Amino acid sequence: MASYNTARHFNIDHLVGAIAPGRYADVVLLSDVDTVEIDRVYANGRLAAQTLDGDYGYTLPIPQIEYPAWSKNTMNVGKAVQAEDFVIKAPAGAATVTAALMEPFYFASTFPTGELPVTDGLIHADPANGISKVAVVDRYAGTGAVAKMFWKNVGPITPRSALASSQMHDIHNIWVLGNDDEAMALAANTVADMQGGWALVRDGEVVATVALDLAGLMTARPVAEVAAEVEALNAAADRMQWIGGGGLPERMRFAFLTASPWQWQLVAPYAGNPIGFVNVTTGETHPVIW
Amino acid sequence: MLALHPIAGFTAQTDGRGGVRVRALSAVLVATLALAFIGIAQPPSAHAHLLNMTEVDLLAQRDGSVQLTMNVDLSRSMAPPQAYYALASSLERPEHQALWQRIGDAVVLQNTVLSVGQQRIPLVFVKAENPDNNPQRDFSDPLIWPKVALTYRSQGQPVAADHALGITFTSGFFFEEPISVAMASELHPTRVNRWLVTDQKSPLFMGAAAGAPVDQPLNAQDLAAMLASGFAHVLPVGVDHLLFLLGLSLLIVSVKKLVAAVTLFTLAHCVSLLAASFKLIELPPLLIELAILGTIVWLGLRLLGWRLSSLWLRRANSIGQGPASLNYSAVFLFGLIHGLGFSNAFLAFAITENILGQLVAFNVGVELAQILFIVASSLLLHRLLLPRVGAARLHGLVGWLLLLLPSIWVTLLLMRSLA
Repeated sequence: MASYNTARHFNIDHLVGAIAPGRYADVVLLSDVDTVEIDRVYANGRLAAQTLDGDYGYTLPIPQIEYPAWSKNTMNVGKAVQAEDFVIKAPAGAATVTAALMEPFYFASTFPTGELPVTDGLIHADPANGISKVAVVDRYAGTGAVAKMFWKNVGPITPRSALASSQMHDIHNIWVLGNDDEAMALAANTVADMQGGWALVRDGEVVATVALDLAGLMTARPVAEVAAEVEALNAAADRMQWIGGGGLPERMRFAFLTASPWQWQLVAPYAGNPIGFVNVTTGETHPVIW
Repeated sequence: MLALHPIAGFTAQTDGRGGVRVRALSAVLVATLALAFIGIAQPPSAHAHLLNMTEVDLLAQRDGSVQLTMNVDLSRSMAPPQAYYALASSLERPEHQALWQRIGDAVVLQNTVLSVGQQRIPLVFVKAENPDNNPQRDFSDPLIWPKVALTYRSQGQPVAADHALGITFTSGFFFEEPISVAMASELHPTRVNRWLVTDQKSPLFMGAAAGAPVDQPLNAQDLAAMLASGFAHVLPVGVDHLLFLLGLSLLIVSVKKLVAAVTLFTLAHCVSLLAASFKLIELPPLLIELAILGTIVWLGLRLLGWRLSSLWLRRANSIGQGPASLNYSAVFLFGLIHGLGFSNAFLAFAITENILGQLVAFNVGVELAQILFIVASSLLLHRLLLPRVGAARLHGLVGWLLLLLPSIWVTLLLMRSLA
């Protein structure tokens, strides 16, 4: 149904979406629906892989895929972002401000708020009280545009630290979570320089990276190599302190979904788009501090 | 995934009919994902959580035991909803014991101990709770996943200086994924947090001694813990290593030569321990274990007076006595092999900071235990047993011991690796 209804919606059900005469489909046969145990795979009408005695075997030659340069060159931030790009200024004369405080997987139609102190006209992350800064850096337009706000209950406590990633379902800009503007800029620039992936900055230095060079989401490098990088990232995160305990805040990767019913989202600046803190179901925007 | 980004101009790169097809498929993909998310991601409530993931806390406790608490959604395994609700509102009933045990049995908690290999730690069910007290309607709501909190405790006291804990959630029960595991200890501040899927092994976690503690430089306590850990890897748990040393101390009679051989052996295994810890050498653990057992078997053969003709086993430079003899290069080679075995144990601690300091402490612990054992076994063999039993019979006894025990281990090892 998932494929048929979708194909019908887009008026291409005469081509795909069903297992029927005249339709295109690659087919996976499962031997156990609950565990999704794969028995065999048909691709282009030919048996491509099958399970024999618990081992997977490929029955067709595995094509060597040469990914074109454009698929590995997708980070168009346009400039190295600076610490100033992450600064959040208070209205003139204010001693405290009210801030919108998001957190990962906050689904409600409203958003939490809180009072934050102003220091020298600026508002800073306050990890001791569970407050971090979150920014989204646009990677498409080449203008280096940054949207930023405060989040709560997530982020590093370890000083001068930040985590950035281009896995940001489902727009895949670069999100940055941190407690220091310099660290956030470094993390975002590291991700951009790698053409995508993850970067963890601790005490002002990059301590772990995972390069995802295909579209900033994937890589064709060997599994063992990537797994070692991911493990090193997790291990580096485990050696830091995080708000609410725990290690690498993996949930952040899914915290920017713009599909309904995720409602209030931080959206990178785009020409002709609602930007900043946006209710993605209505298009309404809201200041991040006031 | 590329197809998800028409904004980024990915699809604009395609042309002709291929472009049309890619765009059509992109549309299908986008729509499928959107529908899937609308379908599954309707919020049950406004607090932060990741849908119905399994959340697990593993705590190494001061008393040496491990406490495991799991927040699990049983909606799918306990369907229909009425049955799950009935269960959730009568958690304390004895008839549910079999279910709790089945869940506990699907969790494989293991201790990795050098030489002994991995030991499974049985989990004993402690209690089941219903922390959110969801009303009955929640259980039939397709977008709410009530969770049950289950507590288990390890049988025995597996938390020790030389033990590293690992956990795997097997397909013996349906655990909703991701399985978010947090491993912590009452004895040190280092934590390990990972998202796992079914049958994926967690990284190892030292319950008793920490690697490098969070945000703190290496201190004397950690070094002492590593030293104790190195010591414990020889005495008492390094049975294979002990057997080798036993053979060595019997084979070499001259105290001077024994000191020379042990020094050489130590030097060799420092070299390979260092090299392997910095990943200059990487060999499969099974191969190393087999090689170590091979060295013991070889010593056994020498004790029984067997001679193999090879580069290493020539009689030149023999430092033993009579038919049982060996040369320094063989001792050095065997030292290298045994060092690799210790490096596996050391690497199992997943230490990534201050490696050298901790490695030296670990090594010093290993050497202290080794020297202690050699002195004791030399005294026992040469002073106490040899005069009473006679050289030939003692060599025979120890020789057969060195042949038989490793043979049994090899069989077990191979069975385990084939299983």
